[in-house]
Amino acid sequence: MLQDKERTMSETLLEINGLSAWYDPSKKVLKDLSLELKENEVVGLIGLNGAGKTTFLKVITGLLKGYEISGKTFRGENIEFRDNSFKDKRYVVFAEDRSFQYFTFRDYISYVSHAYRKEMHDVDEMIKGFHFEEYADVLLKDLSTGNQKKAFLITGFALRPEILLLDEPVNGLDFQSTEYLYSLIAGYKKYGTLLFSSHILESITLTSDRVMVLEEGHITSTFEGDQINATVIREALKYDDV
Amino acid sequence: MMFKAFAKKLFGLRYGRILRTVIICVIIYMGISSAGYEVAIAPRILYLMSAVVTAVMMWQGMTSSDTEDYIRNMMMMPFDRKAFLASYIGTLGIYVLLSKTLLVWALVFALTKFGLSVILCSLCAALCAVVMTGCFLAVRKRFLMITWIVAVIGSVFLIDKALIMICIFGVCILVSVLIFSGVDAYAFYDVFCNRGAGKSRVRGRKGGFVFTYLMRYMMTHKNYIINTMFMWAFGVAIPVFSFAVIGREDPEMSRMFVYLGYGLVVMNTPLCILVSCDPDLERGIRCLPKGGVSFFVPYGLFLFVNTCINCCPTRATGQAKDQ
Repeated sequence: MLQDKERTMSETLLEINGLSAWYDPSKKVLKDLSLELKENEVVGLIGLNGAGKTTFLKVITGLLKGYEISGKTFRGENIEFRDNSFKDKRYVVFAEDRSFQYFTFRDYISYVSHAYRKEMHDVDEMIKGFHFEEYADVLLKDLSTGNQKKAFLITGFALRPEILLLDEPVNGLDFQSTEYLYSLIAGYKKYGTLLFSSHILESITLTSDRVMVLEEGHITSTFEGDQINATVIREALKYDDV
Repeated sequence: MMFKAFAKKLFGLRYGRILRTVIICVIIYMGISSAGYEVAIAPRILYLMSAVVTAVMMWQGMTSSDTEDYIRNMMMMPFDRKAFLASYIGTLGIYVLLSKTLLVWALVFALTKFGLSVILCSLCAALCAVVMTGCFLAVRKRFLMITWIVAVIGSVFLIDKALIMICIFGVCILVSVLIFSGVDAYAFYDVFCNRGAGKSRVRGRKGGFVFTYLMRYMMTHKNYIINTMFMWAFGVAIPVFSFAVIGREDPEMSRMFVYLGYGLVVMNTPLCILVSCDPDLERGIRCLPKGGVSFFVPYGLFLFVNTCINCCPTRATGQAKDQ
């Protein structure tokens, strides 16, 4: 753990080159996408609806088999997205998730802890932060969309994987929870790398070290440090109402 | 833990659905067998019924969008391949056997008395259908699998001895388990991958929206069409059974049995429970101005046409038996 913390942000964690992905082979959703995630950074992936954000996360998660890629490495070593050795290192919170409906949040978090063979951290603190106390022992099927989202978000942050992937994490959350989520996202670099997709510009500008703009299946521009401001990114998206 | 996750989804929080189904089966069995009706059913028909009902329901379970939602998160996490396969196929198999096949057995065993070897053989046929359906979905070598299925069905028709059939089903189960040992668990998720491809544009309509919706609904859920076909087949089988059992003694009673049984069957087709099983659709309809009228009138007409088409073979069967 200490070694992890001492890693500098400049080291490459995950590198993906020439990724094309599809649901229908004649219509590619991702086209020759390449990106690099560094150790202990927060990366925002922004794009309009249908740009391929969720598809990209599905490929990394190993859920989409329709893809081709020229290179994929984790800390310089080749990986397979479906191998447990890679899966151990990442957790994904999907934009919509109706799984484990007959588990309570506490059942689910125990299940995840068991699957990853890892301890969970700061669960009670996050339950308070998300105002989730009343719902921790309620079946997931009986929770509202926002509270279901909180259950999976708390699990992801409590697991502290080396890569935490969040697909549209802000969707469905109330104002207070959104603010709390921003603080969790911004602070995650202490534990690992976080990549999240969003089409809400504020969520990206307030939390990210790096912003990638995904358009028509590939990364069209990247912003870092002072470049990360709403006006510049809006201009890059060529869309005024983000 | 994985087994528990699947079991809770399929059987409910405290596995209450198992008890409910078993009680229904006991009531059906007791009710029909106490009436003293008897029908001669060949053992091979029993084996085929057990296998086909189980296989169709397994297929439906493994390809439903509900299952996709459920296994996606599980597959995202690290998991043990063997544990996943055993839990997934095992729980779904138990669910299908207890909730679907057992109902068929309750009905058939109440009408016909079989020896222990035939009962055991039908159980093996159903178990064989569970694992072979899993193999079919995971392996996707259609020619090989169809040849295998044809060989099994052929042996059911050619071989009379129940013990030999038990051995054949046993070998099929063993071969399926061996195949499973090399199967990638993701194969069960990959069946859903191409569903994203269905984002093709469709031509807009100027009218008949509800009919269009219902047709698209049926075409998207092809397993519902199969399910409805089975219900229709059941609708045809009921008059055959009722006329064979009580028709000669009491034609009026047998006719009533036909209408009652047929009504129950029709009410449970996926089309008939379209609104009640889709709360989002129901909410959407209620929110529309005059939503009730604009949706339910065409929906009722669609069901009426569907039921009329459905009635033809049932009525024809009933009339043939009357004569």
